[in-house]
Amino acid sequence: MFDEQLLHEKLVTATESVLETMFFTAVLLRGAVQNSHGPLMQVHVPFLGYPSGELHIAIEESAARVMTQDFLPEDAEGASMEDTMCEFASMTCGAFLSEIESASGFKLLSPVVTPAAAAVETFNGPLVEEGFTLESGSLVVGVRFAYE
Amino acid sequence: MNPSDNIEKTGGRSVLVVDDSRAMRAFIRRLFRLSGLPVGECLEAENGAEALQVLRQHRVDLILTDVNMPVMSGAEFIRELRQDPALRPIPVLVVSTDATEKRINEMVSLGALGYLRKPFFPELLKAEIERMVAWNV
Repeated sequence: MFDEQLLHEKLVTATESVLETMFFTAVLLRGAVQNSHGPLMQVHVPFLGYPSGELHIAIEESAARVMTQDFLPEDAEGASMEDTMCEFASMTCGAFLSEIESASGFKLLSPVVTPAAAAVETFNGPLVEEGFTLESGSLVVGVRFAYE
Repeated sequence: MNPSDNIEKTGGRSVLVVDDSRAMRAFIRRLFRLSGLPVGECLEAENGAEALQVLRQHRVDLILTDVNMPVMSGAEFIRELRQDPALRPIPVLVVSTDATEKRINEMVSLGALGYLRKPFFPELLKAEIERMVAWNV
């Protein structure tokens, strides 16, 4: 059964845990976000499991840039802001699924960066989503499942 | 990727980081520098197959590997490693977002000596390595 409230709590916990632990980034506010810092970057992480689905993030580039600076060493040749946001999305997805699919297991597929305006609707199932206001911009994290 | 592209050599132990995420490999390299662990050479590979190539050319004291990777996964990589008498003794630490009991049991039964779940506090990486290997800092 789809317990939206429980899944929402798990998604928030996973996102905040990754932000604070690996990106040294605090969440200032949760809830609806206002995009006021410029362009957005979107990343999608499809996953297979019981159920399957897809995690997506939409993050203002200002926030993505600061998170990247906090994550990578200064001489990280070749690693880009896109690579870092893909890793952030994968980590958040893995942390979330480890909580809800702990017995059955899951498989993450490669993250995909999409243009900000692109509407990517792979699945039609239920959606859980949350907005986060960070010091350097806003972030939305959502998961859409494959089942009805 | 050329496996020798990202090699740091300052003396000390040699570590191989296997992860398809360039950003994660760079992050781990950064943590090694900050940790005080005696890591001199930090080799990198994008997947298990590439890691096996690196291991045939370089002596390595410790391997850190992801689970979910294209071409050859972490599980397949450890399985190959354990079948090679020359590579079998190298300790393996799995670093993954997949913290399901099923996956942890699988990797440990294949021969991983440690399992670090992402996200993790940076100091946990050092603690886990120190638990696994007796390096004199």
